[in-house]
Amino acid sequence: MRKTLTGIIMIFVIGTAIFLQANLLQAIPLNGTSANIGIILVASVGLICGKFIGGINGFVYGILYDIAFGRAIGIYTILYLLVGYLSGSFNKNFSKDNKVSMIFLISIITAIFETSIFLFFVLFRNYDFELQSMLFIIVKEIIYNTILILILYKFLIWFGEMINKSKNSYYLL
Amino acid sequence: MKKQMLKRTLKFIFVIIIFVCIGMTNGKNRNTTVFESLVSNLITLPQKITNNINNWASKDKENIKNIEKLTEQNEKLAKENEELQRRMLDYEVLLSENIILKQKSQIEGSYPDYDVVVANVIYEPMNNWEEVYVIDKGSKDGVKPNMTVITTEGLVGYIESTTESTAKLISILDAGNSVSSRSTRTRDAVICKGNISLKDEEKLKIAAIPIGVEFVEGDKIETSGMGGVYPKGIAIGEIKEFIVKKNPTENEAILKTYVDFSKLETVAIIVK
Repeated sequence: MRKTLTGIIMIFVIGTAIFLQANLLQAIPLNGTSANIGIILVASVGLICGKFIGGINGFVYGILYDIAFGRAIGIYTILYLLVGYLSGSFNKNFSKDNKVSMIFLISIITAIFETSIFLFFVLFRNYDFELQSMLFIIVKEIIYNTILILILYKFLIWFGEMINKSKNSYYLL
Repeated sequence: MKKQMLKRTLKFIFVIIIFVCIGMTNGKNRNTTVFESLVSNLITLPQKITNNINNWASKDKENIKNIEKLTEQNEKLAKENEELQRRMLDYEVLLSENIILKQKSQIEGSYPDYDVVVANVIYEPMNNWEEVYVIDKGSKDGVKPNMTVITTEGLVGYIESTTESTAKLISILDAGNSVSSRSTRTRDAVICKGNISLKDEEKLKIAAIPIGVEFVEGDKIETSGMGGVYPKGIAIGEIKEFIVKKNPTENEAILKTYVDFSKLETVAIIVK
């Protein structure tokens, strides 16, 4: 029962994150760049709950994103799954009282994620490779994400802990 | 007998004094004496007190009556206010509907040669790289992939994919999108391309300009019709900057789009 409830809350939170990304965060860009709440959510869940839950969370967020806004199903699914899985591998070294480590890790993951997406677009979608512009956008996004982490930190910890409490096997639902 | 005489005399004197008093005090411009004032005040004091109490009580009664009236009035005004607010909301809805309808008829009027389906933008680009919009018309409205999307100002982009009721629109600002275009002044064919560093300013880059082709600020650029995606003659924007490089094959031009993408609400899809 608890696991089912946790699963429902998890899907609700992911849905809300997509809704916020589409409506709120795009409306308040920082110098033309918006934050990526998906990375923050998926990476922080991975960091608190481990590889498996992080991976599932990333997969669900990514597939919903691909279906609703992506140009091909699978690109964001794989990338968000990897974000969840990668951040989950730092689970054992993470202390929930240390904001800095979360910010540092999510900043690195944001940089890897956005660079991968941009390189994919350069290779397959005829984008011009402009290193300076790419770095500029990524740095702005990292700053914006950091501000968002500071605002959402308590909620993210609560969300991760809630999933952890209901997890006594590797299967969430 | 003497006693009776004395009593009568005293009574007479008393009557006379009273008459004298009447005679003395009967006048319009007479000042009252201190004694009179004192007595008068002393007599009127209880009356004043009673009057004051009475007045205060009656005022309170009025106030109570007023409160009831005011409450009634307040309720009435609140109802009126509610009604007005409701009407205001209806008015605003009508106004926005009117604006949308106006835009629709404007779009249809601007392109009489094309059959268009008018749609509203429901989602703006979701990430920092792509310029993908979601619109509220899909395959059931006759929208298909590769159809051209325009507004009254000019070219917006093309449809990449559709669902039954929505479609994904790739704008010309997308860094992967190229538009085969032509200068209306010189008729030179060039290719406008989106750029990640220019998309926030709603500008496009024209690279690989043929040798000998020069632009001046304000030159209008429209679609050339080559490539088969965009029909010929749709306005794209005008030249803002012509950058001359050492190697003339590397000359570049920056183009500002006519469409204001930050306020993109209603678009038209050319279905025929």
